[in-house]
Amino acid sequence: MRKPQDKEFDARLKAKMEGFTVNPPPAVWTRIEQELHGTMDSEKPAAWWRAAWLKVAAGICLLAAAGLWLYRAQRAVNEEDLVARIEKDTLVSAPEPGVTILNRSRNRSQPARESPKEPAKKSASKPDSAESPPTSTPAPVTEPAEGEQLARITQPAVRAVTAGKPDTAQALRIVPALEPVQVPVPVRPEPQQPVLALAAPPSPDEYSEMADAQGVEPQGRNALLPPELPEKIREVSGIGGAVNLAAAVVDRSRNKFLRIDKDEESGKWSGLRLDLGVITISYQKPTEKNNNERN
Amino acid sequence: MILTAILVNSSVLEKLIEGCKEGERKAQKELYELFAPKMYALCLRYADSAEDAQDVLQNGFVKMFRKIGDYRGEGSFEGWLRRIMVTTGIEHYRKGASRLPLLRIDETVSEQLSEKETVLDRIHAEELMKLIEQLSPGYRAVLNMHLIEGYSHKEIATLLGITEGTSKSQLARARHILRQLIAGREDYNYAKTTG
Repeated sequence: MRKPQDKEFDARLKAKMEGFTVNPPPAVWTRIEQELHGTMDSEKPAAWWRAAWLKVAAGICLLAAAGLWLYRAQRAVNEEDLVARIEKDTLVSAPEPGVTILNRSRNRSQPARESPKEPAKKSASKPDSAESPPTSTPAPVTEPAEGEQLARITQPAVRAVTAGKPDTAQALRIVPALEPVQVPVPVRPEPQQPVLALAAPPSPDEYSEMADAQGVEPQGRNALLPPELPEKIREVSGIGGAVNLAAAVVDRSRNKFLRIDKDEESGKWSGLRLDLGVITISYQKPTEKNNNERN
Repeated sequence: MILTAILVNSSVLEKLIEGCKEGERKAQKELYELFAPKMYALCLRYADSAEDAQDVLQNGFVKMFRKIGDYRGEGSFEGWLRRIMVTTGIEHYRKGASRLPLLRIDETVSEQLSEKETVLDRIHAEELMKLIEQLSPGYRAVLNMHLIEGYSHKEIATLLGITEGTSKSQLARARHILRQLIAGREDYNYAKTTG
């Protein structure tokens, strides 16, 4: 049984203590926060490393793809060089008998040094030219005679013929010196359907000529034209565009970790930049102008 | 006016509790700042030192934030939080009880202190806290739980793992010691002013 004085003491003590407050030191909250969220904070670096490794792995994959693409592009450039040399030096033998192959690229890019009529005279005056040793001087190209059929072979077509056959290129280089430059073709009785060996899609003007020849109505000529690709699809066309698109999907930051630069004039790739955070690899393709300056 | 203030406070508190349930750091900090001073005072009464009280406060709040999903708003939030703090304080007491010496009391002196109870009105709460801190952990726990928190002897017996009789006897002794300490302080102050 509590004494009355105890009751009074207890009541006073309770009243004193109930309203009593003391501010704890700020370090207590820091420790509480650390204990509550410390585990979450420690998970952040792990997540960051996971993301970093993912980026590095993606970068390596894309780099490998880009390397393959560069290798192929370089090979294509070498083949183009080879084809250009062949075109300069020779005329390709006709795929069909009675068809003359006209070297159009030469007429466009490199005008003949002599007038078209002069080589005809020379060939007429010197019929034993075939016996003369092969020289590096390209054979002159003459305008085709009236009624002759023309076969157009563009560079890719020649490339397709010579690809994987180095002997063919060598053979083609030797052929012009041994064979006459101009082959006369007898006139065929049915000239309405000209035999055209088109290895590359013709230009709209050429389509127009074809349409004229076939008697197509002007309204229906557009149907002959190849369909135009949408601009966005054209932008990502090519491996370089695809690589840039993939890099943009993986890395949404402004400075992508992988970027393939494109030369606006030629439309070919001009440089490569790989930024892995720790190391940045950059390669700029030497331009023709730089090569000329170096030479 | 007061009723409006209470309603606003309760709605603010509800929002804070909801925020804490969602794990929002800002809500957790605000809730801590709202109750930490009261709870720290409580912890100081149970702990042997300020450092121990801070440990009890920290453990109590961490426990509260982790269990806040269990709080359904049926009773007072402060009461719920106080219970957590008291339980944490008792756990702390149990861990360190064996290494803490018991404060001996002079029964004859304590019997003569009844006349000086009015001193309690003049004593400051902080001074009273320091005197309570001088009690042994067992006495202090029973005194705090019964006199200030309002626990029954049965509840104290269950929580501390003692019998009800032990709880009652410890409370009586704790009360006597505190009176003695208050009287000693009064005598010291009297001697200081007259001497």
